[in-house]
Amino acid sequence: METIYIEGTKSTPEVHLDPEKNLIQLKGQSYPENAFKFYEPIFDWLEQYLDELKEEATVVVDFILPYINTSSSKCIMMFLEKCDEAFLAGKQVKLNWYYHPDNESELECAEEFVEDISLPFQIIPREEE
Amino acid sequence: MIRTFKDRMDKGKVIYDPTAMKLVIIASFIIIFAIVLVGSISYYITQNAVVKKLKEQDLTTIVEVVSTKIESRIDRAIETSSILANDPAVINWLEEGETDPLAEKNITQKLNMIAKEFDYSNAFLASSKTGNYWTEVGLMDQLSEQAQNDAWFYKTIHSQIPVQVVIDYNKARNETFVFINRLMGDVNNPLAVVGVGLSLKELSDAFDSYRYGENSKLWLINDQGAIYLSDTLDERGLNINNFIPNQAKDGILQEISKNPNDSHVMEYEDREGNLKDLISYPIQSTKWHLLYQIDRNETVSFLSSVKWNTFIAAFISILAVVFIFHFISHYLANPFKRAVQINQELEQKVTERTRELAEKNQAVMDSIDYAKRIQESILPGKDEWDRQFRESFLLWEPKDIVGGDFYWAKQWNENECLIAVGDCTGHGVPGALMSMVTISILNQLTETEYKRDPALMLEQLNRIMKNTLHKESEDSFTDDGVDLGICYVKDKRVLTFAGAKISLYVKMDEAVEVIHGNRKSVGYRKTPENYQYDNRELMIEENSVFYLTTDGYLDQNGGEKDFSFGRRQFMNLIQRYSNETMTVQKDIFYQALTDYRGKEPQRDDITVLAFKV
Repeated sequence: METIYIEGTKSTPEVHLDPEKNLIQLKGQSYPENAFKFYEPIFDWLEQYLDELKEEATVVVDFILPYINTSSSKCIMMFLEKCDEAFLAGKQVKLNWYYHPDNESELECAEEFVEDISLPFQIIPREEE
Repeated sequence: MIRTFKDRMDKGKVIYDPTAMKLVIIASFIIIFAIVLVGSISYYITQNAVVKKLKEQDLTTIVEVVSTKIESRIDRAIETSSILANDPAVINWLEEGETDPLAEKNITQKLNMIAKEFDYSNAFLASSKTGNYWTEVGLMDQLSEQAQNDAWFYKTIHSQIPVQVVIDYNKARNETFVFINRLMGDVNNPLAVVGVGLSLKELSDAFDSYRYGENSKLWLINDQGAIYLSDTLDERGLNINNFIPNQAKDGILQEISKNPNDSHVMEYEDREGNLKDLISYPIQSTKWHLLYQIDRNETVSFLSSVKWNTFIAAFISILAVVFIFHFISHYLANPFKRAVQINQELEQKVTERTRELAEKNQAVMDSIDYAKRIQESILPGKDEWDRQFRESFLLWEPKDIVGGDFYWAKQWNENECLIAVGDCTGHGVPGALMSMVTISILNQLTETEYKRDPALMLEQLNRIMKNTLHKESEDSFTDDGVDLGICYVKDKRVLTFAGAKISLYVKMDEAVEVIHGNRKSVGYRKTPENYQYDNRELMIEENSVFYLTTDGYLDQNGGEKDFSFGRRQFMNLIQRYSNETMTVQKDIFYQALTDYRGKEPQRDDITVLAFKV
């Protein structure tokens, strides 16, 4: 499995998928014109990665997503569902969602997403960057 | 070169590049300037070298030649005089008092021979014993101490100088001569003075031939500048300050007095501004000096031919360079011209493609523009819309001409109507397509009994949409649907609201209340087909104001930290301004968002509906 790194743009987040460190990180605003096109390769990678993941390993998912448009949020939802499936199948998965304390939309967004998932998560305030 | 250039210009084939031409002109000037500079400098260097050589070598050489001739002449005369002075026969005859007539005849003959054979004007003997002055023609004179003209004899006798060279005017001969006065016998008590004489005239003629150049002058002077001899006979007896400026005379005489055995060179400018070179050269064994003067122009006259030759050479060089330059540039410029040509061709292509793209883009824009008309046609018209409300304002701003946000209303009798605001997935064309589908389904649903139950409307919409958009297949990546808020108003007294991810904001009395819709959007995969939405009933009061908004307004980024506008700010606006007229409120809501947005682009379709029933 290879490491995937996608640089962030104005409308897409920075993506860091590291199978060796078992770290998944999405950081930045997400509002591409075609969300599915952007997230598809990430899904494919995730699927394969979760299949191959050993039960002893713990994968940490870090989200820093100040804004997610509607079509992206579908993709994020699908992403989290996949993680949830893996968790329910016995793999160790954790979610850290960082939000800026002054941004209530960000917090609300995070809360909405985590409503339906079973894997362990934390919603953590972060410093301004 | 110019002619062919013009020909090609006329044929329109040459590519005229002003920059290249400027470069060519500048290069030409630089080359011409360089050649002229080199030519001038080399001419002046040559001139200076010539003048230097003139002063240090040539002048010296010329006078040296003359001096040598004169010196050798004098040396020869001295030698002849010495031989005469040492002749035993003569010595004997003089000692005896010149009594022997045979000796007298022989000696007179000898004197004659010396004069004639050895090219002297005369030869003489002057006896101190008898005072007789013998020459080649015999006894010429009797010397006496009282005679002024004979003073020379007595001076010489007592001088104790063995040989003297003098210039003298001989009264007897009426000529000026150079005499060698040689003492015969013991210098302290000499027997006689013997010697030879050279005619000044001869030397003077010879002088004339020694001269070099038309305007040159040759003088034999003493250390006071008195002229003994000149190329012009009549100048004898004058001083050189008749011929050269005093400053020059003083200068050269000073040099002579400082170093009488050396030659000296000077230059001066005469009254007409001609430059003259002056050289003095000592005559060995005399106190005389040769003074030679020559016009600078004469010595450097050959330089004018050098000047002309340099000029011609420079001119030929320039022509050659021009020719070569043109020749080379013709072959080098071709690739350059080719490059310019290619550039022009590329520019043409770019212009062509840009035009094509512009056309295609225009076609797309035209089609979207037409789509806008279609979308607008399906949205409620103004009159129909206004009839639903006592007062209202509507902000409807699609992000890209057409959009996924829509507003909808249906009134089927005076007392009952439905009002809805929706947000379909995406914006732009995809959103607009979705909005068409949704509105169409809503219209259909108002033909059914669901129309009085917003929640049921949503449920049905959900079901139909999920079927319509082929949601059954798990593999499909598309997941499209609608966020919606529907209000059912009856008798202008009761408002029933149901929402799918859209909330209703109500201002009654003092506070702003928000009624959230269900958390499930209509039509999405995650929303179960039989999902049940919730109704919420409200009693409408006199000054109730209702607000519906899609997330476009709330999620617009901007402000200092680039966060979303936010629900809280939205509700603050309602709190502050709900008492204003609808027109004023519309402006306020619009302006508030625009100001907040600042330079950021609009992120999503915006719909804000406010109404009083």
